[in-house]
This record gives sequence, C-alpha cells and structure tokens, in this order.
Amino acid sequence: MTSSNAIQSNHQSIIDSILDYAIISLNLDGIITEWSTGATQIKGYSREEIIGQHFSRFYTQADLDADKPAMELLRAKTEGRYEEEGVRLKKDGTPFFANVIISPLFDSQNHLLGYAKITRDISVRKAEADRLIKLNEDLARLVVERETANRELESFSYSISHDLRAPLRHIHGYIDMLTAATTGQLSEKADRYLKIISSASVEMGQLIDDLLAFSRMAKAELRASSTSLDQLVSTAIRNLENTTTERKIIWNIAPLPEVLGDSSMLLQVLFNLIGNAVKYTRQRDPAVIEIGSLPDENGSAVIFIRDNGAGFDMKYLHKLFGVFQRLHRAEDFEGTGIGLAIVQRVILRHGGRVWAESQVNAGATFFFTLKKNLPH
Amino acid sequence: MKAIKQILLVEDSPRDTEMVIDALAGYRLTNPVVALRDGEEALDYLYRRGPFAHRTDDQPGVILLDLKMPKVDGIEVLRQIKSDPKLKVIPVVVMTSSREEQDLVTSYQLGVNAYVVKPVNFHEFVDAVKLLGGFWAVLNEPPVD
Repeated sequence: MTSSNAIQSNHQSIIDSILDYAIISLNLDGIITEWSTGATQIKGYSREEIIGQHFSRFYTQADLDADKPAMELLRAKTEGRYEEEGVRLKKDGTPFFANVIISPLFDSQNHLLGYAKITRDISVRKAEADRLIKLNEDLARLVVERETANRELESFSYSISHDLRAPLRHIHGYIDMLTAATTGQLSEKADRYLKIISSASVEMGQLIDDLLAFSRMAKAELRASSTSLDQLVSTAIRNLENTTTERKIIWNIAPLPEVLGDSSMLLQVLFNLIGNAVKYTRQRDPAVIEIGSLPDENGSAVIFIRDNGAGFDMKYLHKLFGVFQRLHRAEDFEGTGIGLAIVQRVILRHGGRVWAESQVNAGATFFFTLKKNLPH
Repeated sequence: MKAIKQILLVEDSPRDTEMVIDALAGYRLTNPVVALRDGEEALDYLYRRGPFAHRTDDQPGVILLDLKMPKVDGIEVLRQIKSDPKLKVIPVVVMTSSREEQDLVTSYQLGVNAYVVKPVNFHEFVDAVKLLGGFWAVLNEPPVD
C-alpha cells in the first residue's frame, strides 16, 4: 500500500464514520462514483447497488419534471456551490426532508472532475420548525379570536346598558305610577309588595351599572403619568363626604409617594378602598382609618389602607377580589361586590399587586404596589 | 299673550313616552307635549313636511330626544337641528338609557344643550325631566297668567 493510498483509505474511514450525513461523489454527468456509509444509512441503498446509478433517482417526480437534478449541477458549477432544503426519496420511496449541498470538484489545473454531494436528513428539525410555525399561527388565531371576543363583549356591554336598563326602568317607573294611582286603595300588605318590587328593580339597576363600570375599567385605555397619591387620597375623601359627615373618624394619613399611573383609575381604586374602610367601620366610635406606605418592594411603592372595622375571615380571602363576591350580608353592609374587583383589575393593569390582611372584628388592611415615578 | 311653547318628545318606546308625559303632568306643566316615535317623524315635524306639511303652530320650546331609535337615530336628528340656523336655537335635551361615553362625546360635539341618562330610579328620572323640561320650556318662557 502506497502512502497516498493509506491517506485515501484513512479519508474514506473518516467519511464512513459520519453517519448523519450522506457523502457521495458524482461524475460530470451525475453518475454516482462514491457512496459513504452515512449515505446507506440515510437513503437505504448499499454501495454496490448505487455506484454507477444516476443521482436523479433521489428526486421526486415533480422535481424530475422540472429538470431539477441537472439545474442543481449547473448551479453548483457556475456558482461554486448549491444548497437547498427540500424533499428527497429513500430507496423504499419514502420521502424525507433533506438539506443538500453540492460542490464542484476541480483538479489542480482547475478542470471540473465532478461533484461532491452532502445530504442531511432534517425531517425532525423541519417537523419541529413546522410545529413552531403552526404554534405561531395558532397563537395569531387566538389573538384574533380574543380581539373578536373583546369586541363582542363591548357590544354586549352596550346592549346590557341600553336594552336591559330600559325594561328595568319601565318596571320601576310603572310600579311608581301604580303606587301613585292606588294611593289609599291597597292593603298594607299590597303596598309592601309594591315597595319590595320597586327596590328590587333599583338593586338590579345598580348591579348592571356596577358590572358596566367594571368592564369599562377593564377595557379603558390606561393613560399613565406622574400621579400624586396625596392629591388622589384627598379627592377620594372629599368625594366620600356624604358618608362621613355624621361619623367620628380619626384619619391618620402619611405623605405618599408619587407614582406612575392613570390618575382617574387610581382615584377609583382609592375611592373604593377608603370607601370600604368608611363603610366597614360604621359601628366604631371613633373609627380609625390609616393610610400610608411601607418600604419599597423592588422599586415599587407599597401603599396600605388600614381600618379598625368589621374585618373579614381570612378563610375567604380567595373570594375577596372576585366579581360580585361579598363577605358580608347585605343587611349588615350594603354593596354589590364589585368595588374590590375593580381595585384588583386596575392595580393588575398597572403591573402591581394587591392583597389584604384582616381579622374578624379587628379591622382590615389592604395593600397595593405601584411603580414609583422616579425623578429624571 | 305669548303662546305656551310645546315640548317635543321624540321617543320610540311608548312606555318611556307615557312615563315622561305622566311626569310632566305631575309637574303641572301647562305646555302641550307632542310625542313622536322616531327621528324621521321628528325631522318631518320640525321641517313641516310630509304628514306635518300643513303645521302652522310655533316650533317647540324644547326637544326631549331619545338616541337609539329606528330609521333616523337621535344623533342624526341632533346633527340636523344643530346645523340648521333656524332650528339650532331650540334647546335639545338628549335622553338615553345608554351610558356609552361615545354617545355623550358625540352629543356634546354636536351642541346638545343637556344630556341625561335615563335613570332607572323613577324619581331621578322625574326630577331630570322636571328640571330640564321646566327650565327650558317654563322658566325661559314663563307662561303669562
């Protein structure tokens, strides 16, 4: 064995050790002249049966009709390299997805000798890529569906607001007209029934209005700017005046930080939380309501509102922020159960979190976090 | 003596119409109430055309206008009234059961004089009608007695 032969066979054994690639060589006409073990592995032909065959047998009928094999050799020759990903056939006819590189081979005088063709089976990778594409398409479709659902919800809100309120207004209005038209003619019992029907229709109107307020908070555009919580707190307390005038309330209000947020939404949050503190301390004399902030949490301000009121059972904490969830009987404390749902929705939309601590009859503390407005 | 001006009520719901008329009667308003059922009728009435071609009485002192109506809606009626130099002096009160902000914004852009959301609570509704109907039709043009 000459040394050049030894190198040759060394190369061959290296090539044959690569099983993930089909490495073959073609003559000028595309006839297969060399065939690696990897080629057998991928395409299924033995070296003996394939040497001397034309490489076009790996192509699908459509590719053959388009004269693709010859085109690929031509491009390899003129461009110095041809690469593509496409479908090729195994010996048993099963298609697989291949990455194909064809390079021209030249002798030392730059004469074209033939071509080296390296093929990889990338069916798995392709399937993975296809799966990702499909996943993306699914996601895009979900987004469209979600947008459609949101639009439907909007028109649903509109029809609740218009179409449901109208008959409700009629029930209430005609009950009142009936009451006026029958003054002194009905029994005490009948008068009581009329009153109950009337107040039930008012309650239903309140529920509808609250639900609409909640959905508006959810869909309204969030306009974040530097917001003074001090100002919002005093506005909220001023807006609550009609519920606080007859009450003895000790307010302990610490200076609060500037935050980044939508001031009208945050006013609603403070109005609801402070309003709750006022409502649930109704039996306290004096009521003590404390508003302040805790040390920052990851750069966010932590605000709390504490009262010495009725509190709630921590057992039901998971229900506290739910829509129409109430932890007190309506005869003890009136309400529709929408206030804290709005609080949570607004704070979550600001990227903050909200939580509460309480003990029955020992008051409640509500906490929420908001991004601070940092001076530039 | 100056004639007592009409109140023009444009409302497609006969129940709302009856409630408004009842409320106005409760206020002892002497103004005649003309009730129309949609925007097309309202425009025909104001422009004295179609079934109202032979109308000779004065234009109403105030228009109580519902927004959501068949054929021509309240917004369109409002648009036409407020872009007509002769009609735009008539005060228009938009009444609707919708709290949709867009309606409110559009109504004000078109120059509505007042906007009331029909309250579910009948007393509030009556108060609103009394206030608006009273203010525009009575206090502005007090009937001579």
